[in-house]
Amino acid sequence: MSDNRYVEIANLTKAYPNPFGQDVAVVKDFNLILRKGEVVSVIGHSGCGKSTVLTMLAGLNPISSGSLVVDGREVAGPGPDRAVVFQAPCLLPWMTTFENVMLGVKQVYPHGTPAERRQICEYYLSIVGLADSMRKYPREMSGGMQQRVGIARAIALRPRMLLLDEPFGRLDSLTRMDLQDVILEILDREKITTVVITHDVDEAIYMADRVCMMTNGPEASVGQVLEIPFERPRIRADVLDHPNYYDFRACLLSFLEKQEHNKSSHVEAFEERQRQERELQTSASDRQLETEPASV
Amino acid sequence: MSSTESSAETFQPTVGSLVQYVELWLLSEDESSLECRASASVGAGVRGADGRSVSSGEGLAGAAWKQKTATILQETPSDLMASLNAAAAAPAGDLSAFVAIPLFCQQEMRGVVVLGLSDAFGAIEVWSRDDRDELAVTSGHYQGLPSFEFITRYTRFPKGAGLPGMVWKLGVAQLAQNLDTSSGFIRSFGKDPAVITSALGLPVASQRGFPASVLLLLSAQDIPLAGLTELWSCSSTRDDEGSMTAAVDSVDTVGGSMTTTLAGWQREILSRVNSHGQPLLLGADSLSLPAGATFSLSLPIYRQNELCNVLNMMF
Repeated sequence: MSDNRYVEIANLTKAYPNPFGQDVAVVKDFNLILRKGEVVSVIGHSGCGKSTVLTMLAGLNPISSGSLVVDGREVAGPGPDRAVVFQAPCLLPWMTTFENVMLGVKQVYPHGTPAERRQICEYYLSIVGLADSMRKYPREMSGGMQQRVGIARAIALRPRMLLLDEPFGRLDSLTRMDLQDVILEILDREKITTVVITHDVDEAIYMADRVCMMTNGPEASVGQVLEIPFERPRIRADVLDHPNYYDFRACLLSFLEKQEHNKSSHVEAFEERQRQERELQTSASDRQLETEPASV
Repeated sequence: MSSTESSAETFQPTVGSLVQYVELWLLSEDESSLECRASASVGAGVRGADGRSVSSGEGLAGAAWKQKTATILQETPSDLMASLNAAAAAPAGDLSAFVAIPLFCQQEMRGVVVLGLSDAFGAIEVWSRDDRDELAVTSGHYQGLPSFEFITRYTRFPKGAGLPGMVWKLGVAQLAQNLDTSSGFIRSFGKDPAVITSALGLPVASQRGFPASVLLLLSAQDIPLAGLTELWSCSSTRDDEGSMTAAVDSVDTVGGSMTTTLAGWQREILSRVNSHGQPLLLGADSLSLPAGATFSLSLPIYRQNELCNVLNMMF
């Protein structure tokens, strides 16, 4: 394993059976390689399969075919080496902020002293700006603050990989920008290889070193990868003022518009292929029945 | 796929094509050098061998041979233009760049074709694999496409993605049309003065079934690659004596439809490709081309040792 191929996603496919018993590939032959410490945004229309890719990477959703390798090891299930932040922080309501973070830390640092574990929790809560809210319960915090706890909980595991599934989707614009900066600061410091699922083109560009554009499903795959050459650490005003920012933005929007424009024809073509496959199977079964001798 | 009469029966000559000049380089008898066996210019027709020869690595054709990849030259050699002018064989339009395309069958060199491009709107790109198995542009020539050129520098295609990724995955040439509306073509975003409408992806120097690089030829509806551009899809069969013979399964025409019926001149080209396996540059005097056509260029493309495509351009 080299740092240039820290995460290798090869021919990743996820299929579910339809009512006719045929496999329908939601994601098909998805290929992507991430360098160590790289941040990749995955962008695409709602329902295209972005989160399916992420949950497979997290080990929460078994793959149908292909392979997923992180740091030289095949992904076989969920593990603390791949931390996930979902759109909803899903905090345990009867626990304080500190206790919510400690829950995972205890699992990952079983041999640490109580003082060491406490220090880890306090450190990560402070870098997400919650040093003064460690004893608060989720009900006492805003959505943005709860999501900060979710981020601290994930980073405190010191994961090899961070998986962010539309983590700011439920937040207002100001809180969203604030949290984007919080995460970027953490990633600049910790150098964690990260995948961010989003459908926001500005977020995709601002956060990532590369943007992976997904085609529409079914059989969604990588359409194009765009390198984002802006230096880190990133300052929002500088990024927005960059002379090429709007070229990258236009490229992403153009991709999404074309996908939307051709959505219905893509689905129709897929359904037609499936119908033809069913007809072929039916006629093959009929031929087999005709050639089999009648049982007595 | 509908079976219709070949569109090649109804050729309309175009002087304003992107490709204006062609050279055919084949190996010498002792295979130590490449010899220019023929050249042709739009509006001036075909010339025979002119005595030029290059060794591996020498000149544009020699560089493509040595590097086993399509090689782009973004200038017009003054000695070439002087020689063409002296022979009254200069093309109708100005030349702005050249691309040399090496043709291999497994490791065996079959020839190099050099295309001279006009300064009209269009692009050529060479896509090669980078250290994480994605295709990135390693060289390109763009006319009137500043936004497209810019975004291409930052674009990568994994295997199977986009036209270059599809050529890499399948190992055969691909023709993509109606790019201005196609969801499969995603780099253009409307800021350029004109719009690319068709793209031809060619595998170059296949190794173990996969191309070492992919050449893309991109053109607009108003300025096509050639008067007629066809991509033939072929399949091969082996006879009792072990020799391979290819048949054409379909002919896909730029700006036209897909056909399955071959015209006489197409059958003649296929026969010659089956016999020699080399690129062909033939004038109307040696091939019964449709009325109005002056010459035809044919590039055989192999996957492993089987002919999978013939790219045919008529002028």
